[in-house]
Amino acid sequence: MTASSDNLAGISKAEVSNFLAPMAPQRQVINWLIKILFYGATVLVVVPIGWIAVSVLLKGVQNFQWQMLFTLPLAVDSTTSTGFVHNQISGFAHAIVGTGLLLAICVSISLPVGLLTGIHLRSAGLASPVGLAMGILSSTPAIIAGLFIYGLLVPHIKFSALAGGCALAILCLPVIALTTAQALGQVPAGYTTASLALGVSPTATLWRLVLPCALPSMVRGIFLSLARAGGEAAPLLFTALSSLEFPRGLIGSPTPSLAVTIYRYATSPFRVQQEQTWAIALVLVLLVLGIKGLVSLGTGHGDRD
Amino acid sequence: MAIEISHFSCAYGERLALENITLTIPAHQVTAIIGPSGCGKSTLLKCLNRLAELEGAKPVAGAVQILGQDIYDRSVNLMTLRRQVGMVLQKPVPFPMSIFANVAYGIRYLGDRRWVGAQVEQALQQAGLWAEVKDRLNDSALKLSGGQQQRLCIARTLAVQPQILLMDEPCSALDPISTATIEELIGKLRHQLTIVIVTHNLAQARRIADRTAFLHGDERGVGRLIEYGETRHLFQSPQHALTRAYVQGDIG
Repeated sequence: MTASSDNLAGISKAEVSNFLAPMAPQRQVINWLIKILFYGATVLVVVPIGWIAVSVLLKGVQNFQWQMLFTLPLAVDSTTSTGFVHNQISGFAHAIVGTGLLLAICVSISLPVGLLTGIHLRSAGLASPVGLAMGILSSTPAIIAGLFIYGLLVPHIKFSALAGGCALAILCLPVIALTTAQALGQVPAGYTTASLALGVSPTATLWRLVLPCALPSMVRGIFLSLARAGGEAAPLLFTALSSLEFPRGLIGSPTPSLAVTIYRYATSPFRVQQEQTWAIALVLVLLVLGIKGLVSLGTGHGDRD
Repeated sequence: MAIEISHFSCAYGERLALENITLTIPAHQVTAIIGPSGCGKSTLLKCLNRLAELEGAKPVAGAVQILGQDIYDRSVNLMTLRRQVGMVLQKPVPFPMSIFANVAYGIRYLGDRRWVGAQVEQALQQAGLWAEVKDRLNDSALKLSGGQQQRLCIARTLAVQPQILLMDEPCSALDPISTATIEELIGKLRHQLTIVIVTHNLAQARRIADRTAFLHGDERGVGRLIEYGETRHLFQSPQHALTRAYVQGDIG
């Protein structure tokens, strides 16, 4: 048997590749090209984010003074060194309070409705009419939500905090509903079966067992939607509008917000206001990041269980 | 008689799963239901606390009486029925909360809310878990071993004081030592409860059951009761050729 020496368990030596041989040249070229493509794509993604973060941080800090957090905007006076009348610091406390108020209205509308919609979606499914509606609503441009409220509510309650809050609530509602449905769906079906087998009613099973289990992911969805709503200017432009003073109530008077104030100052003819835009942007970014950070801190523990 | 099943048939939609089952289960005994996979033994068990209808199984004929009451009567309160007819599922399902909260879960909803602590202790004692967990009642139930988790689930069921305990292959996910512990527990619980256990482990049925029912699916997959009687008789002198083949291991 001369062939047997060339055979390794039936495989002829010719078929066995040499594991130690270097890669063929054309494969090496392709390898390099693909590597460049991947690193290039990474740079393309990271650079804009880094650029935005660094410029907001640098210019924000440059133009920021802590008094701005507690004072109201003043008239521009280019003869003083601060650029505002009486050489005082002009601030944006009104916009911070306004954004807080708008978010509070937004959450008190979208949370109960979104929660109940999510519970409905768990049994009805995402392909149900309500599920499809939530899918469409979640991809609706923010400005359309504002336009809708402008047509529906603004004629009756004027430019106001309630109108702005409602516009933001339209944006948050689908996010809260869909994350609630998803979070409830992730609770093992065995929990429900085991609870029903104990003689606990389906309703009590939902409130006492399934909802508490889903809570960490639900809270995350709620806060992420709020973080997004807090940064929106478009739906507020013709619902809450803007003002130079603290919010005066829920209806009847325009309500300031950080996002709209950024828009107004950035397009202002005065350089001092243009510069202050960066400080407001910094506060808004920190607020949004703060909410997101709070969420990952708060729910990070729940994820391990 | 604790459970009387007469000419009972049930179906998933159009597909018949069980046909013409007649079975009388005496109180304070352990009754095993054996049979090959897919013969409908789990479905039959879940029909006894009407959990089967959650999976789409509907009764189409016959009747089931438990403790003298027709459980498929229109006026039956499912919550009351399931409290009386407790069930331990195949895979241990501890809730993601503390050991104490797991056992207290049913009591807080259904039972006498005074003495919750005492009731939890009693249930854990009955399930033979008290000694192992009494110093860490506030630990997560998910930290327990598989066998302990299953005994915790038994304790959770016992805590609402059922008359009947249904067990759906309670040891199939457990190692031999945990299985032995659970079997020992079943032996003790038979004095207070009527136990019906589904098992594919013939040796287990032989060890723990007073009576055994053998189900087998026909060529259309419809489960039928082939033989029912005292465990000893069924295993030693089976009357039916199918039973003999099954207990001898000739058919799966």
